[in-house]
Amino acid sequence: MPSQQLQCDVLIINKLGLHARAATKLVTTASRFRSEITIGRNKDNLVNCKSIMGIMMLAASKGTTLILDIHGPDALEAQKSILSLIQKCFGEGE
Amino acid sequence: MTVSVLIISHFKIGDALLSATKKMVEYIPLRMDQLEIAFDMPLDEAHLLVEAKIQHLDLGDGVLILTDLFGATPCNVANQFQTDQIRVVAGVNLPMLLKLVTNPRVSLDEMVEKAVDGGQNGILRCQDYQYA
Repeated sequence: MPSQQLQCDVLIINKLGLHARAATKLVTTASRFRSEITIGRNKDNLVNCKSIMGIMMLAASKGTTLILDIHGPDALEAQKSILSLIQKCFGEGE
Repeated sequence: MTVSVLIISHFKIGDALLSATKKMVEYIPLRMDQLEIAFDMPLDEAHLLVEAKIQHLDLGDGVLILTDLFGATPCNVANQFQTDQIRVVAGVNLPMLLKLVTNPRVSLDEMVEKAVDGGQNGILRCQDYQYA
């Protein structure tokens, strides 16, 4: 399968932001894919989306825009899953 | 490959850490348990309790024991069980446990490294990570 690189902005919309439970779900979702997945506040400082402390250290509260960068054979599926998780407020309802 | 994890600690530290971890993840992908070693517990009794927990937890891929304080009795008892199949890491904290539950399918040796990295990386000067 050909490798693909995708980059997009993603807005954190849930009330509690990327707190521990949300961060754990994000890491668990990202870890399902083979692609290299990084995320961060700016493109020069992206962290591994499969690392729990990397995500926690973003301290991303509601309203924070993050850059999601995915590189690998299943990049499109990974991007869809991660954007869906964030847009569904990590299943938290708000 | 499923390494099991046993937390051996003072007071209710292991119980509290395990409860918090369970709250943070929907599903714990590892066999995890904890054991409190009371201050007045005789050493041979502690040894028997740890042995029973290990036997119950081990699925054949090894057991990683996490203790709260290097050199303290829970850690010293755990260290008596160190083999190729049983490893001990001291200084258990929540970042360490979250690192393990998000990296569950690794060998015992890799899990030791994940535990140490996860625990150490979770200690930060918060002033360095303030975003206005």
